[in-house]
Order: sequence, then C-alpha cells, then structure tokens
Amino acid sequence: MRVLVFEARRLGREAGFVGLAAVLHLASLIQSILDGGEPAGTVLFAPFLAVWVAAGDTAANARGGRLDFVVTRGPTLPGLQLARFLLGWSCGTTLLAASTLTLVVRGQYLEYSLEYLGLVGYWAAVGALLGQRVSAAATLLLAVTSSALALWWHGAGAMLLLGQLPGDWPAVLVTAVLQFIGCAIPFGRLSWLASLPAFLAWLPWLLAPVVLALAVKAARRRQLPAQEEG
Amino acid sequence: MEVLVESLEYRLRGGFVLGPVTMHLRPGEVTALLGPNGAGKTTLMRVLAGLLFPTAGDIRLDGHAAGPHRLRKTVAYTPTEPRFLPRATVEDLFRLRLGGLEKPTGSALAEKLGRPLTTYPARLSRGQRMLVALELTLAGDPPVLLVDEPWSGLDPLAQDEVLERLETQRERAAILVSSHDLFHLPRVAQRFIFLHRGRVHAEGTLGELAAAVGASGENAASVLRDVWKRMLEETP
Repeated sequence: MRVLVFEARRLGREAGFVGLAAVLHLASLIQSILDGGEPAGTVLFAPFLAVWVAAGDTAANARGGRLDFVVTRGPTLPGLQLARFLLGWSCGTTLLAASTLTLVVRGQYLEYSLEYLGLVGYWAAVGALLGQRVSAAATLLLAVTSSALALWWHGAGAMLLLGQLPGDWPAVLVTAVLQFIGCAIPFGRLSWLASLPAFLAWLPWLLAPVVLALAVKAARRRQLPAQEEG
Repeated sequence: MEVLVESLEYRLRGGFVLGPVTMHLRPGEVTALLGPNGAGKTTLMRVLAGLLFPTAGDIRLDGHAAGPHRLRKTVAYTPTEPRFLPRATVEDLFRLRLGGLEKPTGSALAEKLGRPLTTYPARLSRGQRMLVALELTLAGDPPVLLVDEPWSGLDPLAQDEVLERLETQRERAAILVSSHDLFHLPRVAQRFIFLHRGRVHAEGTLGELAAAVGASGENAASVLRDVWKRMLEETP
C-alpha cells in the first residue's frame, strides 16, 4: 500500500500525463453525457494509458541506480511492479468508467465494460512486464504498433498475404495471436471477429494474471547493477 | 548483526571476476574497504546489499544463509552517487521507507538541508543528496550498513557530519565503508580490507597490517598507504 501511494504521488506530479489524462477523462464524460447511445470513443485510449503508466520506466530507473533506495530495506521490486500495474489498471479503468458511466448506470454495455476492464488489465500487465526492459514510451509505441498491425491484418493483411478472410482457417491463427496478444482494441469493437466464439472476448481476463505473474517473476530475478562498477 | 562472507564470487559480463572473497563484518565495528579504482569495491557492496546476485559462495547473516531478497530487506546501502526516483520528494522517500518521518527528525533534517522536505533530491547539491541518502540509509536502525565513498565531493563540515553519523551508528550495526580517503577512514574504522583485482589482498586492524608489511609509517594514513603500495607491487 505504501509503495502504491508513493507511486501515485509521483504520477500525480507528471504534468504531461496529468494534463492528457484530464483532457481524456473530461472528453469522455462530456461525450458520455451528451451522446448516451454508446461508449465515448476516447475509451480506446484506456489500454494505452494503462500500458504507459504500468511500464513506469522501470528499466531506466534500474539502469540509473534510482531503485537502490527503493528496494534496499523498502518495498520489493515485484511489489513496485505490482503497484505500477495497479496504477496503470486504475488509470485505464477510470477512463473506461468516464466513457461508459451513463450507459452502465442505465444497465447497458455492462458486459462490454467488463470485457474492456479485462483488456485494460491485460495491457497494464504487459506494461509491468515490458517496462522492465524498455522505456514507458517504447512500451506504448509497441502497443500502438501491434494494435495497428492487428487492425491492418483484419482489414487487408490476411487477404493480401494469405488470400483469406481473417476468420478463415489458417488465417484465424494469426488473427487470434494478433487480436489477443497484440491488439488494444477490444474484441467487441471488431465486427469481423463476430464469427469467433463469444467467450474469447473474455480471454484478456485469463491472460492478464499470466502476464502479471511473468512480470513479477522477471522482477524477482532482476539484478540492479550500478552504472559504474568499481 | 554479524555478516560472514565465504568464497563469494560474482562474474561481470565484461569478464571481470569478483572473488573469491571471504570476509567478516562484526556488529559494533566499522570495517573499511580499500582498493584502487576497478578493484571491485562497488560490485562487492552491491552483492552484499542483494542488488547483484553472486555466482558462487555464501553470505550469512547471524549464521543463517541469506539470499539476495533477504539481503535487500536487511542490509542498508548508500551508493557512491545517490540517485533517487524522479518526482519523489525527500519526504516521500522517508514515507516509503518508514511510513512517515517523526516531526523532530524531519525538522532536524530540513534544518541541515536548509530546504523543506518537499524538495526534490535532484535540486539538492551533491553534499545535501549524500546527507539525505545517509539519513535514509540509517532510517529504521539497519543492523548492517554499507556506505560507498561517503566523503567524495563533500565539504569538510559535511565530511565531519558523515563521520559523526557513522560513529553513532557503529554501536548498533555492522558497518562496511568503502573509500579512498586515507585521512577519514582510520578515524572511523577498526578493521581494514584491501581489495585488488576482485580479491582480498590484506585484512586486519591497523596494528596487524602494520606488522604484516613492516610498515614504518608514523600515522594511520601512512600505514595504509604502505599496505596499498605493497599490494600494487605484489599484484601489479
């Protein structure tokens, strides 16, 4: 809990993030209130917000010796990663809530919101894992790129490369990997996946704890060399 | 708390090998770690702090084998160049470690720094950062304390402050101080370990070292300098 508060305070002082998050949340709320028919489009940013926050520049912190005072006689590195994951998930969740608030209150889009919550959690876990190797910006770029690749595959790639629809065998294998591992846009938003079994939309809820466990394991194994060894 | 290091080894990717190192840190005693640049002092300290994982050997705390995770929980460590997470104030760092900072301690620290505790460490001078680092390291009375180059780049008053803090803490902890400072080390340390090319070259009290090398120095600094010279001559 202590490390979560510590990380939340630090995040709250990141002016660029606070500004962007405020704009996204406000836009989501306004759109959600004015156009209550479907979730605000800004909800698409929720997984990206989560992945960036959860990545938290752990790799650069570790390389720069900035974690020495955190992990010696303080919280553990896995604890820090868990805190960053929770923060990332929370940030994505509040944006999701702002985007779907009026709908959920009316009992609509509840399933959609829960599916999306799993997706946001999955991307927060990805951030906590990848953030130990690359910067938060690189993690975000990776999420954007892999999502764009998944969309391209759905839209044109499968037909161009395999001459098949993304839902046809064996193109569906690539579709599944790209959609469930690399795409931050939820299953429900992609109509061409309607042919796949509906339960697959809940897959991020299964993948998130697996990826989070990998992140915790990587953190436990992480050594913290100094920049200058003497 | 007693720290026993047996045949400790650590292999760096560049080919540098630390060890095998065997040493003993006793509670109530300050041990000085000396050696030329690149001898492996910082690496040894980081292994003892649990930040690096040894490739061989044992570290025992009060007789019990301790892995890196137990070491991180138990051993307090101040690196040569203290660095802190960005956007964390001095107060945040103490809150993270202790859950809070008692008012008298906080006020005393703020007075020493000449800045409020809501300051970011990055905005402090190197000496002030070292002071914050040392106070953080000492927070919660650690049973084992490792301090790397505490006097480097500090003004004389700050150097005295570090000496005083180490002296105060000595009663409660086993302390290892790494430094090139032959003036300050003998004032605080009871035992000396000379490290060269990743191995312990000489070890003992000032008297034992002087006798071992037949040092004719009239003061502690010159005895240590003689041992240092002998070490470099024997293992160039």
